Amino acid sequence: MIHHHPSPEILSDYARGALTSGMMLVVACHVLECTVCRSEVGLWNSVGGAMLDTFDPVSLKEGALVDVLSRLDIKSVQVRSKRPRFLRSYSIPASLLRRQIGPRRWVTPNIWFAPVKGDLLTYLVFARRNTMLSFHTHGGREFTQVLEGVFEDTAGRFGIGDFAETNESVEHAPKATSEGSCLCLISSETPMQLKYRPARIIQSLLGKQY
Amino acid sequence: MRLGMSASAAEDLAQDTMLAVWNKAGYFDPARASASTWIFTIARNLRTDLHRRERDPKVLAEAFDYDLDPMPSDHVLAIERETRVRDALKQISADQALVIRLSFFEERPQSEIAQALGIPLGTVKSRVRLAMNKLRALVEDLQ
Repeated sequence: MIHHHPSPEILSDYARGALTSGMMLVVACHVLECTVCRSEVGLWNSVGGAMLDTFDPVSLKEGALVDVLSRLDIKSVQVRSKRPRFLRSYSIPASLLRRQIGPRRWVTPNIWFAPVKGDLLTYLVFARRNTMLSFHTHGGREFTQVLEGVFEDTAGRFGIGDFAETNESVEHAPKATSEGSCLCLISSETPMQLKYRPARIIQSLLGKQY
Repeated sequence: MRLGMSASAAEDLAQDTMLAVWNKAGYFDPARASASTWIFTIARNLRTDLHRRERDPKVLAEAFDYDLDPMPSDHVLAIERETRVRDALKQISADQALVIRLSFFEERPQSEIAQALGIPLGTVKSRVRLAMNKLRALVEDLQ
């Protein structure tokens, strides 16, 4: 049962493609699982299609058709990225499976991070049960989609399929609950601003991609 | 649809979209969406991908088409729904139509639309919300 959804504004930004690619991915993973949001996005898509019809045609540059036709013969290579072994036991949304996931880095014995390649500040984070992430704030928006388990923070309780949005006004230390380990997909506009020095040192060792 | 792209980038995107439409034509399902909506989502997804590839040419090229799902009321044919969206777009106020149009086809977050029109951000948000509610009601009303 999904309890937390992206705001109507985020869904419309998504439908018109006005988010970063990483944030598009996080919203896509939610939309894929959620019939309510899919219906909302479907409506926006139809609005986009309807508007496309109202535009006056613009000519492409000379030779465009020939260019396109000549590219038809080039077979597009469908590369299916390999799912890393550490994700084998999880149910991963199809749109995320099409991305390449970088190696995971354990930052404590209970927490690891793994980057989504090609998308800025987009990564998976895993926390074992009853584990808390270090206190931090954000310099901008951050989207989270829960893929496994449950986490809690100041905004409430987020389980599988839930979507969480935070921004610069939130300082939190999300915690995986006692129900089991928690795996989330996250995309941010800015790196985490960690409150405590040891966590900041680890963050800088990882290269500021989180 | 250009959303702030340069003319030549928009041209490339248009060509990429034509190519994708051709290559994916077999996946097009008229029961799920109209051709315009399908092409709109392909172009949007390609543009998002373009941003990724510009940053890192090594990342896989992918045109994801995951969310192209109809409203839950599957019994209403998508074409019918889209006809209704088109009709509904004619019924919303000019103010509402303008913010919808600007938010869809200009590279503008709602805060900039507010600035450009000289109205408060809250007004832009409420107009978009009202317009969407109206559209949704007009579309669902007929089901």
